[in-house]
Amino acid sequence: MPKQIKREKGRPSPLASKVKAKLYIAAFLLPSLIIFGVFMVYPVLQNVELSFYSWNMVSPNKNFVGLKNYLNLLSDAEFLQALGNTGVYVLLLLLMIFVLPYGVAYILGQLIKKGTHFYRAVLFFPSLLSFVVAAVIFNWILNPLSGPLAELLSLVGIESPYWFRTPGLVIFALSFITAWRSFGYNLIVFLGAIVEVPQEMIEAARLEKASDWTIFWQIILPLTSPTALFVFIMTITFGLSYVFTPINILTQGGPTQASTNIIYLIYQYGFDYFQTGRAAATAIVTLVIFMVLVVIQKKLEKKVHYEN
Amino acid sequence: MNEIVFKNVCKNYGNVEVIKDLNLTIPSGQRLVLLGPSGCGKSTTLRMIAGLESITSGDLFMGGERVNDLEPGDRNVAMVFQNYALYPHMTVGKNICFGMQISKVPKEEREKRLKEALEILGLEPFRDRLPRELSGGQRQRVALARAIVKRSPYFLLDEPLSNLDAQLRTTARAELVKIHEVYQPTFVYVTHDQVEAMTIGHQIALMNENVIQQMDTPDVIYNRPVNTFVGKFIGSPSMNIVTAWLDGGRIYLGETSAPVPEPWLEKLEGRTEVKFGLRPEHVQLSEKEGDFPCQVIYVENHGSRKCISFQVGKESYYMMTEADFETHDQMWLHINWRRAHFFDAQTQRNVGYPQW
Amino acid sequence: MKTKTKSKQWLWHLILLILVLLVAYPLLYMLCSSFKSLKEIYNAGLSLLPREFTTENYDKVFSSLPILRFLANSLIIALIVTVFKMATSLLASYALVFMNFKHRDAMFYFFTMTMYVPFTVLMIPNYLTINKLGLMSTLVGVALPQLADAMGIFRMRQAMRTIPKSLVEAARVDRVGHMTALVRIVIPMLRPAIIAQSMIFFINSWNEYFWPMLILRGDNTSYTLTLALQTFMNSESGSAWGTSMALATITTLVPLVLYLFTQRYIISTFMSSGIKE
Repeated sequence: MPKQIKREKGRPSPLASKVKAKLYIAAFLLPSLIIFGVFMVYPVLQNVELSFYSWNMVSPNKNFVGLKNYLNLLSDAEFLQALGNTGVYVLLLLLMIFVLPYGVAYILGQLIKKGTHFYRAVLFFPSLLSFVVAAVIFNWILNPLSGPLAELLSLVGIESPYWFRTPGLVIFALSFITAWRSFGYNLIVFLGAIVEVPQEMIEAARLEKASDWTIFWQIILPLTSPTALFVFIMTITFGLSYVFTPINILTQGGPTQASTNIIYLIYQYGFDYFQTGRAAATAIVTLVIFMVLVVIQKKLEKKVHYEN
Repeated sequence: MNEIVFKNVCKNYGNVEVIKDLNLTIPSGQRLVLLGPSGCGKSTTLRMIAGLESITSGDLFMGGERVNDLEPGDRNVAMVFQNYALYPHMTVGKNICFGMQISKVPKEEREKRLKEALEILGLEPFRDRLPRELSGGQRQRVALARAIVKRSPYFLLDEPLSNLDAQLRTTARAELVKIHEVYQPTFVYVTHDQVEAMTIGHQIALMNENVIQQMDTPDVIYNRPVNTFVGKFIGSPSMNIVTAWLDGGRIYLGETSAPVPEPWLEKLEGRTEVKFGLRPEHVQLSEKEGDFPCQVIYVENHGSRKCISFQVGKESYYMMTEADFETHDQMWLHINWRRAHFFDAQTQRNVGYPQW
Repeated sequence: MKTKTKSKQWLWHLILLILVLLVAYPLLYMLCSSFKSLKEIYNAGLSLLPREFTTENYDKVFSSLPILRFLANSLIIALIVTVFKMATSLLASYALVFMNFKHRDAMFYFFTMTMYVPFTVLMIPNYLTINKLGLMSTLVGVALPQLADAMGIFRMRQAMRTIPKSLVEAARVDRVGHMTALVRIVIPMLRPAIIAQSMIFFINSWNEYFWPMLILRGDNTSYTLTLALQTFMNSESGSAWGTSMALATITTLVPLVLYLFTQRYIISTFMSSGIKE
């Protein structure tokens, strides 16, 4: 005898069921959408608006000036210098927290036989520190009169330069501080990609007597290129933001704007000079540059993916 | 009472058609198997019944009620997934009871159904184990138990045996049928395995390229395939289907020909080119002179039987037999006309069968 | 071949040890200097360990600043940010992974793009918004702009995609609501990833400098530790050497302790944080 199956009672109406489903989707997404709307989308749009006005942030009067803020940037010595400095920052940061951790991650992930866990735990740690702490520590370490680096240089008969007051050196010093803090993070991301490279491929190459150098260029690099691309873009976009804190604490962009960059310049225009319109125009220009970089990354990413 | 009816149902993903104008009635309490190669739309059909896929157009009725817009939880179906979908952090007992708990089934009733399910499926010793501590076969039975305790009038199974090894599959098939006989839900079973389909289904709906090709009992599907696709898909090795020519009451396979018996001649009247089908298990070869001379190319030993590959003219054919053959044997093919199939050369549709 | 790679091992370890030294020396320098008198720091040269161990820097920090107050401020902000960011990220990524709706991929793309918007672009409008909301110089005012961070959605979505969809579908068929599926199935399965990500949210907010600086600068009782550290160093210039190292050490303590307990989780989370789509 088959057991009787009771027909379910109190089934909700199709309409109620459908509406409920839609409400759930909305309820799950709304908290994020509201926050991103208010603190991300609206600010970007307001920036676009403000970039057409001349305003000092407190005055009730905003004057519409059209594209003047943008046009002024083209002839603004500070903006052009900041742009040049940004280029130098990007180069230094790419060297210190893109190229270097890529190589070190290869050593850590494929070449050494012991100690990987120890090295990665230690090398990662500074990435959990505040940039304020990093700036404070290096403020003293790089102190030209009696900091340890000055002492070390004096041992070999060199007089320590004034790192934070010498144009040219200041960008290097600030980039180094930023790199010291961020190196570990990029290292770990690279390491994650490098240990995923199938061991058989490397072993096959070793049987062909390929050198470590060749293996890196012929196997590791092509297979980790999506990650490399991601870190590359991150180094530029996040890196320039990261430098903000050391700049603000140690040099405020000086001496004579020798250490400012476009991200910091927006802050200077906005909160040092109270030229809101100019700050907004600079912000929009910066944003456009970044978005172009990211879109290029997304396009390239599809090309460099070898996985199925 | 608990029948499932598809009326002109279509399903698109963007511009891709996954289901084309599906009309299908699954009678209450029956076992229907949706069979077909991968990508034919059989899983999508099942998932539409469960409410996991939306319906682009057309209507789906369950128990006489239109359910297109009903959420999965509101359809009262029980489903077994291909990967079993067991919650890895819950014990066997908790996995089985989770749904009942959500549906607020009273505790004693929950306990009663759990015990019964564990007993039927021989899972009592594993009640407090985690899924990762079970074998594949045990996991499959837990997934089944989880579906049983729902006492749902609809039982949906998505390739539930495909992750099991061949031996377990045979026992699991029998178990599934037994469980269906106990509870008699409307049972929809998706598989790409024709043996499962033949052994489990009251009816088989064979799908290909987003359309149901034929829906009928396993017997009819095997003996009266509606087109060459069905003929080839059912049976292993698959049906020999070759192009043949008819002329003057004779059938030509390549250069050689043989006379066609009277009943078939009537059925094939007016045709010159046809597709001629013969299942390997219905092929007869002997040294005695017959319809077509042929040559044995190689012999594959399957243990209980042998698979013989032979040629008539330039076409290759297969035969399953218990007899012994040797390569290069000159043989004769004898056609068992009562087991022969003819299909239209263009439409690939079956031309029908004569009255004997 | 084998011998050749082996012989190079010392070189790799040498490179790595130099990097370890570069990382460790500044940290040890901070720690050791915080226990030295100002005079000793000036004359220490390269020696690290204090000759005369003293806690005078800590005494001075605690007596001249309401450190516990700052610590509480940092803690409250970091907790608000962590809890809300994790909650909203879990909800949004559940929807992005397990629910079907139009423009789902576009929405995810939108969230990822926001990660690349530099904070100075948002600075003026958010400052004005916080001002309008009357949250200037409040802890909530500092927390709010930090919530618009798509990293959590990105990571949680990535983690949820490792869960077979059929698990949630099985639950849905069994009348399990989305909220229950999230709480009873998805979250228990992702516990390690959620813990690690929460730690990272917490530490990032703890370390945050920009928003506290912008929103709290009017009122020095609501300072966070990082903000206090910066103003302390800048205002006392040369004489604050030892004391600012003491304050920096205090600020570092919380990330350090969390790291010691969750090091493996955190590193494995970051290791898998590449760009697997």
